[in-house]
Amino acid sequence: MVTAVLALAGVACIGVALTHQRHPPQPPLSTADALKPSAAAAASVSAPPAAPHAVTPVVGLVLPASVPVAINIPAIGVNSPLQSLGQNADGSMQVPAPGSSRYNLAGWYRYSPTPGALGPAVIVGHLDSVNGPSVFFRLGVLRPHDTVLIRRADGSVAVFTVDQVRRYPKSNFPTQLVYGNTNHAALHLITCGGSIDPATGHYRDNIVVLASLVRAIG
Amino acid sequence: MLAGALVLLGLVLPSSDAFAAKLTIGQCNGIGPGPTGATTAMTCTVTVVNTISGGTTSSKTTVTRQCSLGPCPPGNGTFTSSSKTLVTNVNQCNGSDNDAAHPITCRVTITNNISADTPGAKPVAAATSNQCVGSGTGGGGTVNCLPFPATTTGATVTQCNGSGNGGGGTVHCTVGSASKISRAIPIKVNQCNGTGNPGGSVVTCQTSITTNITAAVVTPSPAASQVSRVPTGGVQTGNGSTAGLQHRWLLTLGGLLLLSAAISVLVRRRRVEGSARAHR
Repeated sequence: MVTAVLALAGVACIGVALTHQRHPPQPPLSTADALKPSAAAAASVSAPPAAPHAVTPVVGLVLPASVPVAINIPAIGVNSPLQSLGQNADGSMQVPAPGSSRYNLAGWYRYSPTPGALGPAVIVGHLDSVNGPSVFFRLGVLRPHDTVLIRRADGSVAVFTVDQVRRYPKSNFPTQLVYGNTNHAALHLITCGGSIDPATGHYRDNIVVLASLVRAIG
Repeated sequence: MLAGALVLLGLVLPSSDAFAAKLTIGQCNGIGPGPTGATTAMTCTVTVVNTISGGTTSSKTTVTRQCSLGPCPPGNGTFTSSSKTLVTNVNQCNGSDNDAAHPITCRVTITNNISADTPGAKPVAAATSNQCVGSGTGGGGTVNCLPFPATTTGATVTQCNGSGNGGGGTVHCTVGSASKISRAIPIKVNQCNGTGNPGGSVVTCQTSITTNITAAVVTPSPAASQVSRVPTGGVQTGNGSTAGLQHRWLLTLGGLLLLSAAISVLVRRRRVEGSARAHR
């Protein structure tokens, strides 16, 4: 009787553990076309590699600068205050501080435009922590036309819609696409993706979501 | 090509100066008396359009010469020339037609178009004059000059001085009242000085200088980077806990429970076997 209980309990534990495995959604990997926006976003993304700071007419709504204070992505249940992020000594971008054991806080890169202003506002969040999924765990689930809301210090809410979701190898990170000038108020969300590189202990890829401002509330 | 144009213009003297080189246009000077000089009438005009835009300069000059009873050297006619050099000096109709009473008509028209971003383009100031000094002094001579008197030393326009002095000589000279100059193109006009001095000569000379300050040509320059500091590389936002197996403690517990069950089975089996041996 005890043996049967032990066996059943063991099977149950293993079954629960296996059925509750959670892996982050992975958009398709982009490599050679890292600098070519998809057709869906071609009209709104302007950062050609040959002319990194080309002067082009501004397209669409542009808001005055105002520091972002929170991000809300209803499609994936993200609702997070925003930290202010700078650079590390090696020139890489700082990532959000833990905030909690789950690293559930996103952060705005303060050397990028404020969300809603002209240019690419950059917001990053952790994919996971040692304790499981983090704030941008499901970022790869986003699809074109999904909504991203940014609450700003001036009380307004900048409403963005997703143009494209891509995954890029960190070894071939699309710097120009993510940080290059745009002709509109853009929002670029970044988290990790792909598989773990055992040599570094880091994910091999970054998931990048490109979004554009469509309206403002308040 | 420029040399040919200079010959056509009659007498052009290039000079060097701050804003690249500058050109001097000269014609109808020292004509008559002489075997080929004008002896009945002389009409000479110079029309110049100078342009400074986007840091480059250009000029277009049209001259006309018409002398009766013998051509004005090097020949009557209308001649046009273009250059990348600004025309800043015009000398014409000086020391000419002093052999008999003739009508002498000379005119200088200069238009300067200067883009606003040119150093020294602004301010524009009224052209200064020095004219009709010592002219029309013959008996019954007429001096009809505007402005008059005009005796500025080193003036923009120096004309009609010491001219039309024969008995009954007439001098009509004007500097356009709206004439303006800019430091960017320092114009000097010298004409009709020491000219038409026999009695009865009629000396009519006009100068007009228009200076337009045009809008600066804005060359699109690369926009400043919207991201003021571009970070290097990708972003490290993962720990890897969701990359492989998760809930390891639960898996471990399950394994331990199964192991315990297996050990329990083995122990029980040995007990059963031991008890069977004891019965035998």
